Amino acid sequence: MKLMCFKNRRLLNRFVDGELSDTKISDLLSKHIDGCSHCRKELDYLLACKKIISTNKRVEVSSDFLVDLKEKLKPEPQIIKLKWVVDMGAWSKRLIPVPMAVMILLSAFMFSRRNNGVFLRGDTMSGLIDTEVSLGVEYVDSSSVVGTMLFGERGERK
Amino acid sequence: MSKFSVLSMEMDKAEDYALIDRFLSGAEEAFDMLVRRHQNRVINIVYSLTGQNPHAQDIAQEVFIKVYSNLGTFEKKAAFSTWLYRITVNTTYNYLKARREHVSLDDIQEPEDSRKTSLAELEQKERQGLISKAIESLPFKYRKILVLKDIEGLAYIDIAKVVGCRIGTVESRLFRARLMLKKILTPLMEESRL
Repeated sequence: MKLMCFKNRRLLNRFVDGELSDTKISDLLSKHIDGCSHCRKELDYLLACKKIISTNKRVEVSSDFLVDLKEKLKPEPQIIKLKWVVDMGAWSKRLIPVPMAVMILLSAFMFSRRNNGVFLRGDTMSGLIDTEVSLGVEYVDSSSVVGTMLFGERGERK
Repeated sequence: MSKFSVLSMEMDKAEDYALIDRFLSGAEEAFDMLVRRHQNRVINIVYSLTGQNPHAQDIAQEVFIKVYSNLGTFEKKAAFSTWLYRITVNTTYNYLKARREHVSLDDIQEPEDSRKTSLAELEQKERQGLISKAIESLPFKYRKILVLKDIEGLAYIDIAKVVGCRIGTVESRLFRARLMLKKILTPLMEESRL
């Protein structure tokens, strides 16, 4: 069997890497290299390349490597979050309008109580009040009107 | 491969398996022993694949963190080292991919003060830099095979298992990688002949 140069290139790689287990091919290759300057040159390059690459600088493992690793592997302390607190967080945005509405209603109620059930008062309304008084309409406390409607003049339920 | 090295590899494999079993049964110190056994190789694979990156140790730690959390899923079909090197190569690839998209200022190495180093040291550093650049210039699929073969000395069959391809692919990629390096390494070779 005669070995061809172009086929040898791959065989040379295996030869250099010590992966050519077939002794027959290995012997044939050795003989071919002895008589072929082209393949000899190729083999020299591969050997030199392998040597140079294998001299690539190696790094020393830091003495703290394992300590740092163990530190990273430590479980993070879990913050205990109660379910209702978490739910509050999620719902708080939705619940904001509720206390706002309660506040508005409460302040409106307080205002109406303070002003004896009349929401509109002052100089700007005086003309209107005068007109309505002249027409026989009396301004009364809104709560007393509701009370009259429900219980009558004497407080008996209708 | 000699009978002695085959035997030694089998012993290493059995020792790794025993440590994994101990770790899975709750002995944390077994993991420390596993790390000590393989840390040097893992760091150096990362170091060579990333072009001597100063963050090699951090990447190696990331590798071991992945191992720690996935050791329960390791099926003892292949050697632990094969599984570990596969994680190493993949983690390094992900790091390099992320770095390409986002270059950190920490990644830019400051030039060392040349007054502190002698001429011989400078030459050595320059040479190392050239080798490292040459390896780094290769596409990752060629680089990983070259590093595993020429720097870590793995056999074709083991590289095939780590990378997840056929032995023929390993052979052809190695062949092409060495062809690509020819241009860059020729001046170095001529220098060594002088």
